[in-house]
Amino acid sequence: MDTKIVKKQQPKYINPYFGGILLGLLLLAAFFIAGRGLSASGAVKLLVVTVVDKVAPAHAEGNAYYSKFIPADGSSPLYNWLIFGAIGTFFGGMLSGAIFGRLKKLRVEHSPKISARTRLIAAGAGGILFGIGSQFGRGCSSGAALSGTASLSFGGLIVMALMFGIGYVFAWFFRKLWI
Amino acid sequence: MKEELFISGRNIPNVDPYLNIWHWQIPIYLYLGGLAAGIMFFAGYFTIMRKEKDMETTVKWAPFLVPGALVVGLFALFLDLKHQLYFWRLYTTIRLESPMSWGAWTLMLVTPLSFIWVASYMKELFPKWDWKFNILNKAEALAIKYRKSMAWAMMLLAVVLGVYTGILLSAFNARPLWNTSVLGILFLTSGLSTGLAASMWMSKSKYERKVLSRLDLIMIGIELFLIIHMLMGFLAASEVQIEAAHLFLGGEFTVVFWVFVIILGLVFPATLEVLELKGFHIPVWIPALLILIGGLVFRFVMVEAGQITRFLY
Amino acid sequence: MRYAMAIDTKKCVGCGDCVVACQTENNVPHGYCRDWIVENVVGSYPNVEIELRSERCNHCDNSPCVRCCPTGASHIVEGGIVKVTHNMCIGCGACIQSCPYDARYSHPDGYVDKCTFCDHRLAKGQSPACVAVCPTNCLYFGDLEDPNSDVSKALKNRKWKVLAPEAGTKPQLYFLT
Repeated sequence: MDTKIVKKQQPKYINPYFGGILLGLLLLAAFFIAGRGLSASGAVKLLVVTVVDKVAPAHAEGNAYYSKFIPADGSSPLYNWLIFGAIGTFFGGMLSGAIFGRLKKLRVEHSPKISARTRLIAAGAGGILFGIGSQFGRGCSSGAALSGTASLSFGGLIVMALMFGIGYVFAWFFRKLWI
Repeated sequence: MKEELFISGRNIPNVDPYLNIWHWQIPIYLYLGGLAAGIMFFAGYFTIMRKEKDMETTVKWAPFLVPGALVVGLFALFLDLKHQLYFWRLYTTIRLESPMSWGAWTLMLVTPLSFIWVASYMKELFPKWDWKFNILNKAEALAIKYRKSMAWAMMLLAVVLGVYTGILLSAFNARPLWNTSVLGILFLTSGLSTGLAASMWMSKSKYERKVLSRLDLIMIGIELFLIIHMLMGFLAASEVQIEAAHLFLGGEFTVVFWVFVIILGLVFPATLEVLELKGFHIPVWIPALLILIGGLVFRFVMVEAGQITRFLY
Repeated sequence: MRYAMAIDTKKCVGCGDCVVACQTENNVPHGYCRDWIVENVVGSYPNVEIELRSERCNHCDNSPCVRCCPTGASHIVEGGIVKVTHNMCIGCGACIQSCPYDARYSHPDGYVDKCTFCDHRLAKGQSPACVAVCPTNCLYFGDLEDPNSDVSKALKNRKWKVLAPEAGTKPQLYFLT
């Protein structure tokens, strides 16, 4: 039995500007490799479509929104670049967290002023609103803002501008959840 | 043009348009058999090496999974039979040329042995446990006395079981994807790897986890080597096997195989285990769970893809 | 005694009488068949070659289905005919996996079934149903070890082939080309 000092690291974070450049390069690579951009809400949407198709296939077929994402050849809607991108993001983030000391015990991160439960409820409510909004706006922060503006889509630009703009406006009302 | 068709309207259920007579029951059974073989092999190995004190989980706790896994696996196999009332016919004869017969009898030996192994440790792990009948107490004393012989038997039978899960498929040369002798040792290695992953997850001792993790890295290395060479072997064989290999190299199973079996099931957990050994803190359940899931997906892919490959038509 | 069948691919017209006769004679369940017709087309007009084959279980000499059966339900009887004992079959499907010709199927009653060369008719001195009914007489059946049987005479003077010889099963269905 040899003694080993487990490296207790300080969590390391990358310079945000540098990180942004890397993310942009990654987006470029995504266009090059997969022929399309990134979208986290898109991956979630495909999950929803799969579940609806499993539970109520007739309803899914008849609905204009769902039927667009159900492939005609019978394969799963999950057989899509976005899903694998999301899986890769999850594990890549985990790997990065492990190497740079950010991977700790599973916990809910929240402001010390509120409880974990409040944080989860607020996250859930916000998530629902964001889900509705992202589908109306055809994209989220990665789909419309990143990939949309990368392809100079005017709609993407508007979604991004309003997403962050309205966020700034409403931040004042929810500041107690954070500071 | 070059076309070969059935023109008499043949559309036999489960056989046409491609063979699909084995469904989820067989991959589940193969997986649980491999997992049980892996756990049993290392329980026996560390007992023989007299390392029970250091490797407590592997030797004493992890084998608790084995009886359950084997029973569930056998039940899945029973569900797959189409003439279930006659299942007992399996045990009226030993047919040396049939791997399925080998498997039935090996399991007949392995399952009680695993129960006895677990039972022999019951009083040690649960001090309040009472057998209630004197004859069971005597049997327990007997089992404890012959633990070393049981360990040897377990190791041997575990290897037979692990290899059998692969040879069961490779005996069917009519399915070109399975027509490779690598499958026996590949499924054994995969089973050993999943057994190590399960023991590693259950263990609370840092030393034990390190030992298991190092063994697991060796197993994963061997597994990757065997998979690469299996594919290379197919590409160098006859036309039907080249086509079979192409199912994984551009065909319908490419994504599932390379993403879920190779990358998420082998390479990524191996990377995490290497990082852990180098001192970075990785929660142990992540590589363990990935390896366990990867093994299951591998069995599913092999059974389904194998039935699609054929010699004719 | 080694029963075998020769199919004259130049005479087969793909009528399917052999398929229907077999289903009637052997009470094959609806949707299943013990023999079938394969059409092999090579080339493009005007140089097209068509080969029609009436196929069934090949009753192989080195049958993988008999070797892999865990209960011995799959066995070889007098004459080399491969048969399945219904009440010994557990329906595991190993034999179906092991047949390179996809000749076996899982009967709805649970056991595995396939062509039996109509051995119940052979016992009465008749020929198999498909052979008896073929309108072009393209199916020759008999004992390979008897030089005067139909099948031996057909194989003597014609070029023939077997299906998937590389599988090593030594099939006993010969296709006269």
